[in-house]
Amino acid sequence: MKKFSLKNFVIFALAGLSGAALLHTSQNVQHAEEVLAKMQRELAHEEEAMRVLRAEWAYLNRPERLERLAEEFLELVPPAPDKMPENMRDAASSLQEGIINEEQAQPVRYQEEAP
Amino acid sequence: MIFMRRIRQNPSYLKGEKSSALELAHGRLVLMSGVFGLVYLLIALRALDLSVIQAQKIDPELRLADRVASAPDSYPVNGQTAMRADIVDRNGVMLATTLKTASLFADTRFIAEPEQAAKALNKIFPHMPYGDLLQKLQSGKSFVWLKRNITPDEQKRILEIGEPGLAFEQSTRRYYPQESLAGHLLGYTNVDSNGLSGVERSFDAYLGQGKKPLRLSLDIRFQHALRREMQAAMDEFRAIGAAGVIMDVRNGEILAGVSLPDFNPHDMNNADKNQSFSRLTQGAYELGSVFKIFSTAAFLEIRNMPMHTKFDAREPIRKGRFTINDFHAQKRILTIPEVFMHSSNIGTAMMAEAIGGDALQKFYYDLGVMTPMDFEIKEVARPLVPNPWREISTLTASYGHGVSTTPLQLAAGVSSVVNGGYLVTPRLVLSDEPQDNPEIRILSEETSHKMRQLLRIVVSEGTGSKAAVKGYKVGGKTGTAEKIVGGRYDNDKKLSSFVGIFPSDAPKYAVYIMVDEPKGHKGTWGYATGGWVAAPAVARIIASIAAIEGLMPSTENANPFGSALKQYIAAEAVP
Repeated sequence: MKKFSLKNFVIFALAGLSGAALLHTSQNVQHAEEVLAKMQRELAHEEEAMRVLRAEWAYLNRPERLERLAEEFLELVPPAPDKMPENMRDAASSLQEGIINEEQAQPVRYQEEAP
Repeated sequence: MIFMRRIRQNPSYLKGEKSSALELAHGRLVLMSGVFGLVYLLIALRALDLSVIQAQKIDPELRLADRVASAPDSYPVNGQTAMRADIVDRNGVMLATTLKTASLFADTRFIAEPEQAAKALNKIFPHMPYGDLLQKLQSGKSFVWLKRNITPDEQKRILEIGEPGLAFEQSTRRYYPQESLAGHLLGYTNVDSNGLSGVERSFDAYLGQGKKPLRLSLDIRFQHALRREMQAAMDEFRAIGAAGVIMDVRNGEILAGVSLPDFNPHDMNNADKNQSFSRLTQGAYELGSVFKIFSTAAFLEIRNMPMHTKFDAREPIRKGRFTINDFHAQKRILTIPEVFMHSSNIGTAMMAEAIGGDALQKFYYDLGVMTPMDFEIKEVARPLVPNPWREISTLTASYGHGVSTTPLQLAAGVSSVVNGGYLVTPRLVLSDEPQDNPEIRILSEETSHKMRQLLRIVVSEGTGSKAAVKGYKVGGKTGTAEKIVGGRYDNDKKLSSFVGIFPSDAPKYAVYIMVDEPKGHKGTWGYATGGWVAAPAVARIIASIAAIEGLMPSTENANPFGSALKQYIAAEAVP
């Protein structure tokens, strides 16, 4: 048997290298798994938060509540035929009158009577 | 041994053979120590990795339990949790969802400052007495429930106390953002999220799979308008209950369905039978004159008589011990439009007699008002049909007495009459794929058109004038039935109803409201009939629908639908 054949050296070197590579890879995988688990946890957390926020949104947008708030803060009235301009030209002219006429400087919300 | 002796005896032996043997041994030693060294190095590296490198990566929030749970296969696919699926309305507005909630418990062995903790908890939950809390926190037990199902905000405030002995357990809970609004049709679940009524019950299996949301035909805006006006009518007339529905007459989709009084689905323990009972689907009632829509349609379809056909309504009809009288008595000879708009029982009974009991029954069955509904929720009543069907049954059934059906079926029947004459059944769940239902014709297009005209005349000239909405064409029919109390019709206990169709020349919506036991007041001169109680409510609902849908009002005279019938109406009509 020869002392240190090149063949043996190469074999051991390869074995060592592959061992190191294996260790490296397994470390990477472990790390990636942790990152994945963390992300999935965050995802579940976000989804849960979205659920809660959506429920809250639906709760705050209850028609009953919106109606109450609109009544309190907006000066809107339900549409009625006598509050409708006959056509867009009338609407435009009534708006113009409102601007030209100083006495009616308040914005014209709707036409009181159909002409 | 022989080898070593040979070396001692003859040193020259080392040369050649001997030196190669030494080198071999030396080489083996180096190799062995190299391998061992490598292994020790690996172990050292691994130790370093575990103790230093990985230790930093571990999330401090991450406890052992989480790490166990974070094994990849314990996560559901696509982030989909197996939580009970949501229910949404036709526009995707949330009606029911499942939320994770936390329940607060205490491990009293770890409570550091019981007095402080009890004081802080008492501040967050004012209804929990301080003494009671302190007693619980000092009990020494490892597990004491303090409060179930707390809100995220409350949880945050409890965490801010910083008491290590207070902990939370996660569970799920069904949540209804619209609260009682969608009530009976939507239903409710128990604490284990099992559906107990409504859609929650009938679609329990589907919802439990946690798939995509179940979409209903309801529109929450219509639902609100309907409920608001029904509640207003109930309050105004001190009624004991009400049922109402808005239906798309073209396909039977229920846009809104309400039964009052209703319940808070989060608090079913405190809901009584009267609240959980759905008058809309579980109550079968004698609904009165709204049935004249069906008997008149049958008469027009089967006998095909002209509108000026005369009926003698001067005298009540007497049959055995029965007397059929008119509420809005005209005491004269009436044409078909007059019979309908004055809601003459006498005239309608004559129509029913003309077509015969078998034909009338068959038409009622065709409409689906005489058999239990094939419906998407299970809480449906069985209509009551006189058995045996006598001659008098034909006469009374023509104006809605002696036969009972549910308000929802009535609305579907009216839809079938006015939509051009094909059958629709009530539908509550929307399908993703367009439904390809066969068209079952039960009336001719012509009869359907005549019925729309007649319904319009009722509002423009007759008993339903309070259902008129300025700028919109509304048709409809009033109905006032007496309830049977102790086997007799009680004049003081009424079911007052109105069914409206809108727009009356090409109907899209049918709105039906029934008010249970309304009491008249000064403003109505003591009247509590359908025309006084339900018609104004229907008018307000239709005005709301027009606003929600953005329909432009128009001047009435532009297209006087139904005015063709005015020639058959006598000028001297008693109002």
